Amino acid sequence: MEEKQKTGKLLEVKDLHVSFFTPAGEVKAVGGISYDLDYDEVMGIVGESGSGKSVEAYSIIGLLQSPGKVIGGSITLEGEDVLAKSKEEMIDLRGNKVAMIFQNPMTCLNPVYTIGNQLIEALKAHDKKVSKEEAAKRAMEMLELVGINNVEKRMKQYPHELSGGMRQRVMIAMGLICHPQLLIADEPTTALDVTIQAQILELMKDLQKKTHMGIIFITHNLGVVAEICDKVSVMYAGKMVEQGPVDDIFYKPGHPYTMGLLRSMPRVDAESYERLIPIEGTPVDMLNPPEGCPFAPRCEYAMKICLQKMPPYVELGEGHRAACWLRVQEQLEKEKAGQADGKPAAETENKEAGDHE
Amino acid sequence: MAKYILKRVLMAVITLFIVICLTFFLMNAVPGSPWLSEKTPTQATIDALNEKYGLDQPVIVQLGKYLGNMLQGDFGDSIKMQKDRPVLDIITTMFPISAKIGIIAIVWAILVGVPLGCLAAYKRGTWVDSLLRVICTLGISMPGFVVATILLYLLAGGIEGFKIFPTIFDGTWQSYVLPCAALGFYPMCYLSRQTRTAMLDSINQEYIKTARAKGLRNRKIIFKHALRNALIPVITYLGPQIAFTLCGGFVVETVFSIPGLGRYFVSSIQNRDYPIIMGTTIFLAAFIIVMNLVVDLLYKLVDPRINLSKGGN
Repeated sequence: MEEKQKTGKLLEVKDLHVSFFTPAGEVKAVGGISYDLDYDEVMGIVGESGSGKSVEAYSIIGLLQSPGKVIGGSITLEGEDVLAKSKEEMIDLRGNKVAMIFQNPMTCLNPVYTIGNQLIEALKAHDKKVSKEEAAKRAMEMLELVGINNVEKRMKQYPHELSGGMRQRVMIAMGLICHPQLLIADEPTTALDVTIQAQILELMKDLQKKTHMGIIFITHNLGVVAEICDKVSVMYAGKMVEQGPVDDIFYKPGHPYTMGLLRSMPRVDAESYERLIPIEGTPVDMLNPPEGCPFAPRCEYAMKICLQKMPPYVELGEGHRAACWLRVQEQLEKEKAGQADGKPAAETENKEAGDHE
Repeated sequence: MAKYILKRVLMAVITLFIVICLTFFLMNAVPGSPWLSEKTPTQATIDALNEKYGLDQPVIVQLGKYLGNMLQGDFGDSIKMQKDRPVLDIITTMFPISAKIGIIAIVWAILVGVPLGCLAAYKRGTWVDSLLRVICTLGISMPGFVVATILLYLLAGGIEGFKIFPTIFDGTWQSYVLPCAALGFYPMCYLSRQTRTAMLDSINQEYIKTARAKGLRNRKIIFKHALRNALIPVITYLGPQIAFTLCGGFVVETVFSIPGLGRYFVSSIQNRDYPIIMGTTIFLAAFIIVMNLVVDLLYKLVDPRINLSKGGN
């Protein structure tokens, strides 16, 4: 249905800064991240708790709670500046063009209203003219689409009468009822057990193919990323440390943090004696983030410069970039070799990368 | 459901019986007698009166007699305050007056208190919230006669040439305003605080985030999604409070000279008018028990997760 709009980017986020102004000081939850998302594309945002992945997603949909505030950058959705929209326009946008589903389906549905009531309400919020019967019919179609049977009975049931997996299906149906262009899924499978997780992922993949919407999939589970995503952004301490197509991230990770994440993930093909390797250290104190690369204090490859200056992004392949001084250094060496071959050097400012310990 | 209600009614009967026995023994344990006033009558008169009203018999015999009469619908006659007038008659004439004022008071308390609580929760941390907190804390901590006196002073002649409402209750609509305002002020403030606390809790629940993500408007989020989940503590408080308020406030009825039931609760004890003490106590106790049952049934309506038959076990 979106065929006509297939040209151009669905979502462009440029240099987004989000801060929380707490009594203890400013917490830079998101410190300048950029990415774009096409129609029909699924992007994973990976990172540990507190890395800013949810905050970043909430700012797209205008759900940042005070004291959180977008303080810089831009978010463009289908060519429209989201940050410039009024409160009213944001209400029209939410659930309509952009839908969001959350981590815990057990608490995300209102316990005192029926499934049908909540589904119809989502539709009526954006389609005032739709009749009661028509809305109920659409709601039941959506429930069928997400693989719920016996829909007429389900419509009259309350959330506590449904299982967790079923409730997440209802959440998805609710998100998709207005045919959004963009779906933000904030850890939609984290609270479910593994078999249900697989079913929900399968369902989302399936729906994505049917509707051609773009999906931002927030998770800390790399297995889920491999399953569903086309590309991945890895976040650490509010910064995007690496970004790239899913295969590149898994097979050619460019940032030590991504490598650490991959090593700490259980693999089916691992030998029985292999142990998972955790990333040493603790996440950054966001009130007093270190200077330089935020991962440096935990990084086994850290150099002197890492503690002083945030590294620039280095292109590692098509659409694959990482912010790490190691990669900068590699690139410089490559360029030097290239220069010897007669090619001109680029980015002189990165020369300081050389003085590592 | 029917089984549940039956069980509750049975429990109510037992509760009432305990209340009756306790009140009866306590009332007789208090020193003093209905016949003592400024001029102490002679011992012979007292004995004669005691014999006439059966007060010379052992307490347990009196109780047995009282219960027997009560089951036949006879709550005895007043022995002092309105001599020889049936207690049932006193209650049925006085209660409607108190109840009328009480209903108006509780209705305005709900209509104002609950939305103010929502407002305070929605604007938490702002000056609106602070202002409401000050008003409500004042309302909760001020004794009723202070509120009544302030209202009288401000609106009924305390200020020279400024008298909107009468000072004494005479049945006209103007004379209802001040008593209802005074009687409803405390429940209004209390409700508002209660609503605010419950609303803060439900506003922070995840389904509110879902409602926002759906693109619902604030009014709908607050009044449809948050308020209904915040109602349980509010109705829990309201049940017994409605019974108390409808039975009239002693202070408000005294200050405004209202011929209601509220005054009898206290003055019957002062006068040792035993049948009235029993009558009013049983009436209020039964009222509260009924209100609590209504509240429990309302829970089920408000929150479908509540299973009455399971909870009753």
